[in-house]
Amino acid sequence: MNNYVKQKRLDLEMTQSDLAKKIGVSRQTIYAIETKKYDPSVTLALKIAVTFSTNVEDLFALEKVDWD
Amino acid sequence: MPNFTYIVMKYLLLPKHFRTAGWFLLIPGLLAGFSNYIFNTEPEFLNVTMFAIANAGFYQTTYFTLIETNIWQELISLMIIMGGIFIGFSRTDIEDEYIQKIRLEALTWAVYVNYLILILAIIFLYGFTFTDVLVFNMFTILLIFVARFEWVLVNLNRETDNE
Repeated sequence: MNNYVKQKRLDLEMTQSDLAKKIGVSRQTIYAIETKKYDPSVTLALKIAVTFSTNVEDLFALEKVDWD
Repeated sequence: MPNFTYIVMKYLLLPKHFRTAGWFLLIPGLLAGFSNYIFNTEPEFLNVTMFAIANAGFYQTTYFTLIETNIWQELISLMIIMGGIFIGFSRTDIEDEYIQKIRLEALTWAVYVNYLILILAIIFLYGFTFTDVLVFNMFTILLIFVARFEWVLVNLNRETDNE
C-alpha cells in the first residue's frame, strides 16, 4: 500500500512525535507507516486522516500488488 | 465495540512492570540451568517433601503421593518459563497495534524454528541426546520468541532514532 503520510505531516510541519502523541501510538509506529513497513488498521488510518483534516483516500492508496 | 488492539492491551497482556520482573527471573534461571546441566549439582537445602500427582519409578508408578526430591530443577524451569512469559507478554513502553504485530510475528517465527529443531532432532538424534533436546524443547519456543521479539524491538528503536 502506498501512503503519503510523511509528505502530509511535513506539509503541516509536524514531527513524528507530534503525530504519534495526537493519535496515541508510538513514534516507532509512525516511522513504520511512513517507511511502508506497516499498513495501519482502519481505526489508525482514520485517526491519522482526522488529525490531518483530510480523507483516508488522500493518505493511502492501493497498489497493484495489493490485489494479487 | 472495542478494537482488537484495545482487547489485547486491556485483557491479554500483563502490566508493564512484569517485563522487568521477567528479566530478573529469566537471566538467573538460564545461568542456573546451564550450571545445573554442565555440573549437575543441586543445593542440598532444596531436598524437600513434595506432593506428586504421579511419580513413575523403574517398576511402578504411584499416584497422589508424597515424595522426597530436590526441587532445584523445578525452580529453574519455573524461573525460565515465567521469565519468558513475563517478558514476551507484558505491555511494552510503546505498546500499540504495530508492537502487537511484531509480537505475533515473533511468536509465529518461534513456533516454526522450534518445531524445525524438533523435527531435525527426531530424524537425526537418538538415545539420551534426543532426551536432552526434549528437555531443552520445553523452553526453546519461549526463548526463541523472546529473542526474536526483543531483537526486532531494538532494531526498530535504532532505526527510529536514526530517522
